Amino acid sequence: MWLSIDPRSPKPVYQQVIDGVREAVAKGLLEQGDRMPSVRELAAKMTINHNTVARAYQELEREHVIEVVQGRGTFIAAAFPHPDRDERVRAIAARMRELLVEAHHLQMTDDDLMELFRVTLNEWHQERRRAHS
Amino acid sequence: MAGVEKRFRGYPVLHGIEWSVPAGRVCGLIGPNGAGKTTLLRLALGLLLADKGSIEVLGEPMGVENAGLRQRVHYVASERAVAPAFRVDEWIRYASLAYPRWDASRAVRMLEALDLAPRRLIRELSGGQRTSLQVVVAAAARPDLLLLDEPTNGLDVLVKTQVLRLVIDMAAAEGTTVIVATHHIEDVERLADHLAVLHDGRLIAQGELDAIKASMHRLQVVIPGDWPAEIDQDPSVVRVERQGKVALITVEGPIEPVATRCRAHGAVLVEPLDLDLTEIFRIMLGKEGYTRAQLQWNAR
Repeated sequence: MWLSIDPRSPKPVYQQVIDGVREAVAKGLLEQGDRMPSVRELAAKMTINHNTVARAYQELEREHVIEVVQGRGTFIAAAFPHPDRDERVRAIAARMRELLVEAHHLQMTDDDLMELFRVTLNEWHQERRRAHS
Repeated sequence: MAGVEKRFRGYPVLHGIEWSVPAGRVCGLIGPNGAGKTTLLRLALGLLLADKGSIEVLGEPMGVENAGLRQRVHYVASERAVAPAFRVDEWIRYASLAYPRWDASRAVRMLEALDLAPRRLIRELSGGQRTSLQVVVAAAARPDLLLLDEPTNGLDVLVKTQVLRLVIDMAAAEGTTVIVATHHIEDVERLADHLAVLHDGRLIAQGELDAIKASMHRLQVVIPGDWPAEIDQDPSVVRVERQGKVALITVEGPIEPVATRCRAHGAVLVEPLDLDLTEIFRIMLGKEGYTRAQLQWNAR
């Protein structure tokens, strides 16, 4: 299963579903046109509340990650040109700055940081390749 | 329920109950043993009558003459004994006569899925199988309101997951409103989207599970020098525990004003910490004067 849920986590379960689907799409575990389980199927499979799953699906649909085709089901949507893309890219930069602060306090040099980024990126691509093989 | 009170032999068991569960939701009802959970469910079921106040179930007042309403409400209790001398299929047939909306093919499918042999005597079933049988009957009866009283007590992990799955599937398929009384907080976190906390016969909290989860926070703070008493007096601060230089501040409501106040007092560290639901209940009950020794019920 491409999704794992920890109901004990302080992170709300609906947010865990949203993050899980987004991550599975980014890794290529779920691709455009793939059929998603229905709210009922996913709730029963993961033994989590169905209204919580429905709320996550609504949010994912609003974000154009999934689309509901009336009478046919729910599918992974095509890549969507986000109108607020610039704003969201700036948000990534803001998160990077938080990491820079943390790295500074761990006495990491720029080279250490870049190396860590390369290693992490490599692992990420390996995971993606595994998903496709 | 509005202004509901219930006494047993003059001893008040429930008082001042104002409670509503929106239709189609799954509400976890939690509280220590003896808090009144089962009494509350039995009132909703019409098995008991309130001494004061009014109870409405599925939009209809619950009174003495409610045969029709009671067929739309189903009660499953792990402790409840179902006719031990019946065989499984006889009990299913008996139940099918009592409920006009009985779904016979669903009952058959579920018995198969749960490995409940039709010819077995109910007295020979394990506790978990008896609970499973009750859930089969509940699902086939297609109630609008399902009341579960400690449904997972005594179940092994596999059967428990299966029972929870059946309940979720049923609620998702039919929009059944479910109320589940339990002291297994993890079940509540999985199953419920709504929550009611019962303590000593009173409801001390109710609402959306996520909202309740988000209502309490904890800050880890280090303030050099004397500890500012002003922080302890902040009405949103529930508790301050200090160990050496580090203080743990439990905050109800928004966390930022308290964090700002700490920084104004020269805090060198202000860090939010995660609080899980178990911890939140501990704090809620602590506010009600519940002592640590009594809190063992939710110790994990």
